[in-house]
Amino acid sequence: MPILTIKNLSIHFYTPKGVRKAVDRVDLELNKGEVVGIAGESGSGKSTLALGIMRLINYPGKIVSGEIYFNEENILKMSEDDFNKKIRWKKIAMIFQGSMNGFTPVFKIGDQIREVMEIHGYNGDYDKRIKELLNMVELDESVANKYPHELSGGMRQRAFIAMALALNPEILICDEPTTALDVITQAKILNLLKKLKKELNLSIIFITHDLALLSEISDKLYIMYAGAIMERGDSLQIYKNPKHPYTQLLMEAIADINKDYIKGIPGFMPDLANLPNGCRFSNRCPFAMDICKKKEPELKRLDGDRYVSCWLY
Amino acid sequence: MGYKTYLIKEIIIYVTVLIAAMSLLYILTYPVIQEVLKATVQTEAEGFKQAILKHASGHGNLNLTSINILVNKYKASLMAAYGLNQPLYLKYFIQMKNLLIFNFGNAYFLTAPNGSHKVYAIIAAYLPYTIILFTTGTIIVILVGTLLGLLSARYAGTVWDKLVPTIAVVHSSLPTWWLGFLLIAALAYAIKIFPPGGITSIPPPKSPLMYSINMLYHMALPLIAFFIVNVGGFAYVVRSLVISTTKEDFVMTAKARGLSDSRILYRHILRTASPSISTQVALAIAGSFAGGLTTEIVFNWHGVGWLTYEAILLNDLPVILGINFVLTVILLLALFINEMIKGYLDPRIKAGE
Amino acid sequence: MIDMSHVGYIDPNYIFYIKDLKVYFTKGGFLSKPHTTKAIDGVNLKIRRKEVLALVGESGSGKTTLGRTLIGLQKPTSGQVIYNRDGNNPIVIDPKVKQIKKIRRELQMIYQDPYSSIDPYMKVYDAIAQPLKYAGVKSKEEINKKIEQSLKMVGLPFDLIQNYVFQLSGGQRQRLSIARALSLDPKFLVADEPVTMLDASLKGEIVELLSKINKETGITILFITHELPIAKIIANRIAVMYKGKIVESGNAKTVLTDPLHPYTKALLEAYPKIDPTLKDTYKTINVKEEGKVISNGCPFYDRCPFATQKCFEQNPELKEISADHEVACWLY
Repeated sequence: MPILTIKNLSIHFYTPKGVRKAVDRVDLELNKGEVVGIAGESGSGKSTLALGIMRLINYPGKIVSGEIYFNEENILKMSEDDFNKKIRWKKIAMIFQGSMNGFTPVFKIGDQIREVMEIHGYNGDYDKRIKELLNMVELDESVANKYPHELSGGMRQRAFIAMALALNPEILICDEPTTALDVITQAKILNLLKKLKKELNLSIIFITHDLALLSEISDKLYIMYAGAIMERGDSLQIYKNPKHPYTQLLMEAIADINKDYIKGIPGFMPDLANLPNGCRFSNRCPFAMDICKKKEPELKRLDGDRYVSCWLY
Repeated sequence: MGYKTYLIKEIIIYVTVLIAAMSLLYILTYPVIQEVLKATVQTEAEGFKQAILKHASGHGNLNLTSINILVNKYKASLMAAYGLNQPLYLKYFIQMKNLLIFNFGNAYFLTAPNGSHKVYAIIAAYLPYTIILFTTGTIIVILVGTLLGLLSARYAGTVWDKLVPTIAVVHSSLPTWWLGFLLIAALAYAIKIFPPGGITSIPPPKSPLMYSINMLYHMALPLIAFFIVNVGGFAYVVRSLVISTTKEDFVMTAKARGLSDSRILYRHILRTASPSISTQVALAIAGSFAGGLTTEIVFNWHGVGWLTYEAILLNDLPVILGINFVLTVILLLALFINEMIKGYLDPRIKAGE
Repeated sequence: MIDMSHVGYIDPNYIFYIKDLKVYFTKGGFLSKPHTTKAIDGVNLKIRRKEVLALVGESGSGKTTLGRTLIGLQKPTSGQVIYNRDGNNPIVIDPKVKQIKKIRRELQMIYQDPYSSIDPYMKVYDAIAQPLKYAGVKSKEEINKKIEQSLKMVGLPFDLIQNYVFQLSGGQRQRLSIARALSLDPKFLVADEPVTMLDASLKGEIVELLSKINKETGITILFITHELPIAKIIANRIAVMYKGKIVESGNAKTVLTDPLHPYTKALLEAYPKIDPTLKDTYKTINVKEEGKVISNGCPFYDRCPFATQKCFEQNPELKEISADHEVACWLY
């Protein structure tokens, strides 16, 4: 039984220019101890999806439909109070791209971690737990007594991960956690996440635009484009044999240290408030057929756990 | 950098600013100051002469020439003391020294209630009343304004939030004196709840308790006028500061980790925005010492503002200059204390960012 | 005239000669201890005519400062930047000298952020026409011709000139930036992280475009980036910077297939590769955490796993190890 199941989730933003369908009928499953990678460029909706799971969507955005089941309970139906007490940070935690600036600048690191534990009624020795957490993320215990600005970006990111793990969550959502860091720190943070996955049996949703980075950690892969899932399946299989034209083009576009060339994808992503009839990738797709412009393809199962949303199949 | 180093650095900066401000004031008012000093010397000499004459006539010793010599000697010593016949740089130092000990000379026309002609005594007599009214009013405005600003920022975008910007714009456009007249007409004449002006009734009550109550009773209308005009602006500034802080990354993560909205607002956001708010508080309090010239006139409240008005009408330069200097010092002092407070509140400032 | 007598022999194959360049920024000094940032700390570099040289480093390595100093936007604290425009006319680049104005046109730059490097409220026409006017091109026909040529070169339709810049997308703006630079017929182009802020699907186009421009017009390009994989695609030669010094340089393929410096090795190991088989393994990154020790020698001392006392005391100079492959490290 998957630990997290998202069914038909739609998140829309009501702007003066129209209704932007940032997330459009998305399904997703996360199994225990697994890493699900969500790949997409800016505007694909991947970050909005993450915020939706944490129920942090603010005006003018709104979750318009869908269900999110955590261990068989629909967390979208819970009251805000319930969700905040039982799920948010306690069962599902999140680290952001701006997590390095995620600490309040005027309080010490240790005090902020302690605050999180106090709010959620953690049972146990606070100081001991803080030491334990810092060790887990390979930081020195003295970090607890420091202010955020006294640490480097990489150290702040680790400290934030420590705070995210304070209540022993089952799911960790990582939204571009390493994009603002230098590549060596990025590699070290990735090592850390792999270690945590193994030692704590953590289930991770890893969101990034860097397909190469994703390949190094994901078990399953979801490719998002303009708010919808284009392809999903086993990570190894998709990298070996991408089916959806967008996935194929994206693989060509990603620069990897072993490659000699990259190709761009001509054209533009459609306006999320004005999605075309038919497939949303049709205007850029080299294999576009007539039907692609008229009717939107469904996410169809190909074999095993591979699903593709494309009329070629 | 350490808090101590920060303090020392700030002290040096502010003392430098104070000296620079005083020097600038001195340069700009140099010819006037010379006049003032000459006049002071003249009146002092006159007073001295009168004293001698009185003493001499009482002893029958009226030798005018020797009296005049004495007076002139006295005059010369005064001129030396004020540096009137010294080269420019010495004059400057003497004047700076005098300013630092609040020696502004004598007023031309005004006198303090206790009879003294000394400018500092005059100012000292009226300043407390300004403080009692305006500083109290400012503190109320700060407390209420901060609360309103916080609430407004919390509900930003909703109907409730429209209140603060509206009040800020509409109310602060109202001239205090006009509002004052309105309040007096309505609440002191039409419905006689409050007195129309003055600091206390005439004659003031004897016991300290009754005196205080009586003063409070007289303070009511000017306070109301002051509050109405100023609370909106302060609330608006607080609201803006809080909203801009809310946009920062750490607020989103605070929400993500389960902290309640009020906790985030009153602990995390407020504390982070407090150095900026503190600066506004410092400026407001410093400004309150200047009083409201028109407010004090309308309500016949004899404080520094009213004094400034009287001095301008009478062209009493020494008093005007003296008030000017006192207010500059108060402003710099307030800003300096603010720097100390900011350094304490925000650890980043201590580290020198 | 600039006194070139002390400069010595300049090989005409090189368009830029950078000798012992240092750029230090000093802050404070009035009431607090002055704080000096050594953005460039002793760089010797030769840039070949018509090549694409990639300058690779993390933020803080000094690469942007180097780019700016080369085209005369930043005054060197010491050392020299010598621009050898056509082989026998070397000029020292110094923003304070009057002569710099005449050659500014030949040295152009494109920037990282397409949204803030061109005034969004301008018309596209003016975005290219204005620099031309400042460069002294007076006739309207000539301006129009240059605009037409440069827009064609970057693949933007000519009728875009009536639009405002804010109507263009990020990718289009970056192309416009390149057109703006090209219209002045430069000999040297500094591209400062030109694709860093673009989406994956757009990076390829811009990189391809710059490569094409270099091949067709022979403009020398200094391609500054922190993304090694991108550098690999476009560069003939690579220079790796760390804390203001060049630690390794040479032919791009050689450096990337056979890195010598521990930092370069760590970078190549750290960069993500599309390889799902790695997902359960840990990467070995042979780099320690940044320490508090500041050495007077090698800038990489506190992070290097092979550091010795010599590394702490003496700064290694760039030494040629094999053909077109130099490294600054005491291991060699």
